[in-house]
Amino acid sequence: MREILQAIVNGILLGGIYSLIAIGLSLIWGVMRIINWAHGAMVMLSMYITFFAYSMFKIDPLLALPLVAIIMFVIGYLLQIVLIERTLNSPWISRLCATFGLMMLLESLALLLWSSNWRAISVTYSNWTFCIGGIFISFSRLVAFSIALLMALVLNFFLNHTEIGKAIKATAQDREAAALMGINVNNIYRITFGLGLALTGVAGASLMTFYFVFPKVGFPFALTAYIVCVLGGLGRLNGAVLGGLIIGVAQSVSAYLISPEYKMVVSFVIFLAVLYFKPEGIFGGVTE
Amino acid sequence: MKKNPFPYNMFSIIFSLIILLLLPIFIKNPYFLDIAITVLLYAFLGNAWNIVGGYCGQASLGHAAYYGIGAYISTILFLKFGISPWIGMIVGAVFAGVLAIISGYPSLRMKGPYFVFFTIGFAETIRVLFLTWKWVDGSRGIIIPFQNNPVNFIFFSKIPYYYIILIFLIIGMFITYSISKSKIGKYSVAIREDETMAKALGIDTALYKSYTFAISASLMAMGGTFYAQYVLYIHPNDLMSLNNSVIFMLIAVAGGKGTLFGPLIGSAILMPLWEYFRSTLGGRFAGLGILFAGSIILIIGTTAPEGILGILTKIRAKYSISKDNIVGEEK
Repeated sequence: MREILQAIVNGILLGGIYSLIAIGLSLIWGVMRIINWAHGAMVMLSMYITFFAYSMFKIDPLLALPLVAIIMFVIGYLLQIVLIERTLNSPWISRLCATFGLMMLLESLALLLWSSNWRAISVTYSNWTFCIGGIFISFSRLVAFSIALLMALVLNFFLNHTEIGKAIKATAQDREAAALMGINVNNIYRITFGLGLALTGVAGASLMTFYFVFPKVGFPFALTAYIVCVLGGLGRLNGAVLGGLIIGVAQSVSAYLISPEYKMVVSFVIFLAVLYFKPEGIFGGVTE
Repeated sequence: MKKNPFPYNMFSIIFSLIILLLLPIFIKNPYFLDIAITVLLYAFLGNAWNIVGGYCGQASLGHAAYYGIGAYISTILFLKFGISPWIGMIVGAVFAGVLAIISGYPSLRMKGPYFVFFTIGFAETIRVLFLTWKWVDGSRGIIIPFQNNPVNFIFFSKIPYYYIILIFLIIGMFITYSISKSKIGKYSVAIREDETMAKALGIDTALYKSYTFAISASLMAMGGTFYAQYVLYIHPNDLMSLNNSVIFMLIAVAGGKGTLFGPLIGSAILMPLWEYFRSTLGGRFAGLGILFAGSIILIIGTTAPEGILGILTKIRAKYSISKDNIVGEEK
């Protein structure tokens, strides 16, 4: 019983990271109707940035976090100008090719530059754990989870109470109407893509406190994030948060009960069940 | 506009066919013959992907699952039950087709990204199941013992493999051609262009999508058997990884999706380069092949959605001085 409780707690803590990655994905989809297939590669990239910030300049991952988020925002903003904008009006299969190609490009570049070695950061608090009622909680995972939750709240505030946030929401609801109201839609798209990547930056930096990085590290996270998005409803941010926690718990408990190898299979079964019974996700999604 | 029942240049087709038939006579180096076989195999696989992805517009990124299933079924039937891989290949093709229909039932009602998620997840699940399945030797893979016998689909020389895959390719392209001329093909294109409209016109979209999916998956499985018999070693990660699914798509998209000769052109241009990178650069530079593939897929996605064939057609249309398409002929 205690083990299952432990697995549930671990799942919730990891689920926070899934939520964070999925929120970015969902935001981009909600506003631009684009699935960013390179999302996992972006997580990988921000993990490497965090890693090198630590190994070269001795910047603590948690201090580097805002910096990584800003760098990722700039990368996203530029990528939108250079790459994504060109594909906005093409058939969705070429949009898929563009971001999928970007993913392959980044992963192989990372392999080329930094080899396939696994790298981790060992900071003083990496191994801190504390015990509540017989359940062990890792400090760095708890911090990562809290950051994820905090970011979700900040983003929610940003979207509802700031000028740009409201413009983003307006663009998501109706692109033409927003443009007619004097909103620069292209600029909103750039900011949205940047924001989505900034969230992967936050996720990557907080992951780096307890996880390791290698060129292909991002894809399983992204695959899980896609499932989370579908579960919560594509384009629904609160759905992404809850979906992340559900998938996190499901993976962690199934890893304990069956075998860690099957955790992807379990997520996939959940995904299928959702698509079968409630294709728009548990909160209802935004469709094309 | 004059209707041509076979809108391809008969002369160039026969000419390239003769070249392809005579190629093994000129290529003495087994390494180059191996590349030629790879080109034909991937043209065959890209062609199979093209039926679903190009004609029907359903971008599947899970076709590697059917490829792997074909290889595993024929190999297991051969090694555990002594059934010839030729028969195993047909069993695998039928099984893959049935599986495609079963898995297609939920997936083909999905649209856009949902469908791609589903296909990726499906293939990854099958891969993990095979990796952990002890009865098929899981992550150790299966080595097929070398028994040089045409009945066993194992040959000493590479030349029979070359002709077998050439025949496969011709059959595969013929199937694609007949589909594109048949009701299934016309309906598929209608589904690709506007699914809601197709449905409104009374086309049973799910039914026709499953047809094309099943045909495509069966061809994939045949390719898998060929791979298994050619390489004589199969492993879930070699066959069913997402990378493979992407290559199938890349070949069709790079050559020209939804065209008969697109996959062949895509494979003929990409695979030799790919093989070159893989064989000459080891270690961390092995990523260069993927880097290259990624750049191509990215460039094609952003600038030339019609692929190489599309570019060639445009160039030809621009410089053509042929009489019938000077004025007023838009496509």
